[in-house]
Amino acid sequence: MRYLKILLLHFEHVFEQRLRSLVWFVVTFINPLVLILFWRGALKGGQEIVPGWSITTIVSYYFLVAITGAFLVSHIEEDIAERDIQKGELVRYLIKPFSYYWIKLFEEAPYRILQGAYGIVTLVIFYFCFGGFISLSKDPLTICLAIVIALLGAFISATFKQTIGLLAFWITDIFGLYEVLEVIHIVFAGVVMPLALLPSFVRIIANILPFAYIIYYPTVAFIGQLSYPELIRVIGIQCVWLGFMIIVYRKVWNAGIKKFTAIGQ
Amino acid sequence: MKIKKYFRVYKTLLGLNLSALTAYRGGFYAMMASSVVWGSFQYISVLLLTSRVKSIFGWSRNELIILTAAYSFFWGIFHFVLARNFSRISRVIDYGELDLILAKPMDSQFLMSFWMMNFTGLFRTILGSIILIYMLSITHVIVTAANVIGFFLLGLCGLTLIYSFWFIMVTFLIWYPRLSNIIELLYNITGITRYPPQIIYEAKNFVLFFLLPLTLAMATPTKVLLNKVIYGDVAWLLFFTFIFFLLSRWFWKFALKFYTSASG
Amino acid sequence: MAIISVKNLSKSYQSYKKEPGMLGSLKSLIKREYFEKKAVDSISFEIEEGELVGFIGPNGAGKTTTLKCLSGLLYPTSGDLSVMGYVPHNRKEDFLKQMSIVMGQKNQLWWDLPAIESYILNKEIYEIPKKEFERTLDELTELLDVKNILNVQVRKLSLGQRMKMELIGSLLHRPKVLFLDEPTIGLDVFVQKKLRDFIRDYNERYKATIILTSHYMQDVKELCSRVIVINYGKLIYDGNLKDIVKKYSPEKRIIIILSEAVERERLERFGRIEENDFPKVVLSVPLQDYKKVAAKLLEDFPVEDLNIEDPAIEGVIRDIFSNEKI
Repeated sequence: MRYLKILLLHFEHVFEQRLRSLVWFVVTFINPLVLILFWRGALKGGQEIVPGWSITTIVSYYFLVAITGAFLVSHIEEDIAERDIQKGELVRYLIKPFSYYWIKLFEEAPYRILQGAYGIVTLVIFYFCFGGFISLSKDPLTICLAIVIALLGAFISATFKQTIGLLAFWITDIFGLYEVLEVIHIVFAGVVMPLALLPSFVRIIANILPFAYIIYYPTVAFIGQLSYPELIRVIGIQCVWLGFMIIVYRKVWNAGIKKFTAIGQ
Repeated sequence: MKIKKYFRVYKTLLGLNLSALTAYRGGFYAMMASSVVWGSFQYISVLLLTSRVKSIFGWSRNELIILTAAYSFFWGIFHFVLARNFSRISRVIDYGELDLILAKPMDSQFLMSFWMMNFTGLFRTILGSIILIYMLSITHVIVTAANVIGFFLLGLCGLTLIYSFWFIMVTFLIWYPRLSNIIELLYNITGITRYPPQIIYEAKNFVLFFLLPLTLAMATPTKVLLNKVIYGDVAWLLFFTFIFFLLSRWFWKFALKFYTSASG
Repeated sequence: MAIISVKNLSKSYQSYKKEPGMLGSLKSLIKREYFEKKAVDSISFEIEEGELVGFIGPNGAGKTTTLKCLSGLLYPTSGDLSVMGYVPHNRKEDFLKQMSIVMGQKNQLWWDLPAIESYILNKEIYEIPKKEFERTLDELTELLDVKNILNVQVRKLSLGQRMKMELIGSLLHRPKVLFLDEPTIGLDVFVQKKLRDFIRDYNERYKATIILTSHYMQDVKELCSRVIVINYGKLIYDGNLKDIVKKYSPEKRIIIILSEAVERERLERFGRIEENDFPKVVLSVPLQDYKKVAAKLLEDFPVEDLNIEDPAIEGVIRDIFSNEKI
């Protein structure tokens, strides 16, 4: 119940910033949009580059990548690093009887939900204007599983980013790290190109890393590219990743808090 | 007389920025990381995208890489001379520091645009030139002095066009100071200039047409370098640069009338 | 010919109301209630060259807005302004070269560099000839006694030192007109005094016209013979500081230290109680009675010590603001 209150409080705050949030949404949208135009130029003959990937699939893919990118990817690491750890606001959280992990999750949720709302609206508008270009799965079970995959993806992203944010306990100039992670994410999550189209060695690395499970797999799940066994498989791998991330988070948190409270702020 | 003053002030600013570089090491590493990471990413991106397609709108894979290198070359200059100032503009307007700039007997747009420098931008320019030279040699393109000079001049023209577009967008911050993330948006939009202009043209979408002038910014100088330019393109680039630049100056002066600084 | 001439200056802002809470946010989406806020409401005054004038008024009274209109930073909504013969908001280069505005919390000096580097930049921006620059720098650093920190990074200086360096930076071009907006805010009493002395010296030495706004009455008391009182954007008083007290508060303050507590009712018969914090009691007594009252207090009460003061200008001003009728 108390977490719900935090959620509502932040909702109001986010609402005030809705214009700013809209700009962020457009930011996530631009690159996929440009890439759609790129592929339209590249696939002028209407051919398929790889079986199963026609121009319609590509457009649907990048469109959803933009939405999942805005909706599912967490950006809480900057807040944690800059505000809580470096500026010392963390103390306020420590004296409360709530789990820091869950508080940060609920703090960020409104922003993600608002972005998701922008995404849904854009999708609906696009569907009505250019319906022919977007093709999503129409099978209810697939959609349900896709939603599960998306939610798991969001949790993986949130846990990962929270852990990254906590690294500020040890690293002072952390922004260089964020830039590197951002680029790794863009390449291996399938934001530049769908994994299916990447050169094989890149694809192999992408499947070993967790990033594809935040963006790529939710996206192709919604497009309907995955069969039921494959969907289940993805969910399984996501659970493994999530479990792993939580364990790492706990370890980092415990070590970090020891250091933080020992030195004081 | 006036030009001399602006040159002297810029020279002094260069000196101050150099001094500040050695004084503040922390920010430097972050900026260097950013330049290296994003500078390299652009090449990774074009290599990945062209791994599946051999040509797009008449641009071969090698030409697309050259376009990216040209973009990188000039974009490094943009980062060196201008980029930091745009992030600063949103702070300056939001915290009312614009007052101190307006009180100075110098053109405020100049002071806002050229105050700070980012020396790490030169990394991108150097990387871009290395890759340009390499690509030009392996594709056996014959490049004359005229091509190179045309490339530079039109590239600077393209930069001016991009700068004017940025400044117009940033001027909106006077009415909406909280929208500082508009700068992120601008970075992404400018990324379009790494691609052939036809991708916008072919989209035949009214909304995207306003981006068309931008797409000429980097593609046209590159075409000059590769001897593939249509003179209509050059004319359009010059025309748009002129228009956008004047528009940026007019709009800025107009917006200042509405500037109400923080803390009355 | 007055160097600063203000006729019916007005400046209004548009603002909108927002109700608190989630519902309020949603409401403001649909319909916004705009209202006009008049920051400055038809103010007129004239200032001669070389005057040192204080603007006083509560927060939000319109002092800073007036100053910003005078320096050309804001466009007035209506009215005629003339400073040194220029219309400020045209921001002509010659006008800007002869005026300067210093705002307490705003910094123009580069944070990571010694002040001298920022000064050199200003020298180029204001096109100050080298010899003149060196002479002015010399004089100003002498007056403020900061020669030894010219080459220290601004970030390493204390707040007081930084303010001094900011002030110098704003005066290198020897402006004829100087606007100081809360220059001593946040500084300790020693630095405040030093700055006041400096401003007075500067005014006398260079015959600069200075307008000063401040929350600290001490600044105004020490520096300004003439004050302009502004409240709710309106000009309420324009004249001598001493005359304000005589005009609006013909009283004296009697401060007594008691050795034993005395009931409030007994003290109240002698005058208005301003403070009653044992052992200290402060009474306000009309001008004509104070001597008699003082004598009676000494007679009737266990008074350890007694002091007589003029009413605090702060109190007078506060009363003017709360009464609002002149």
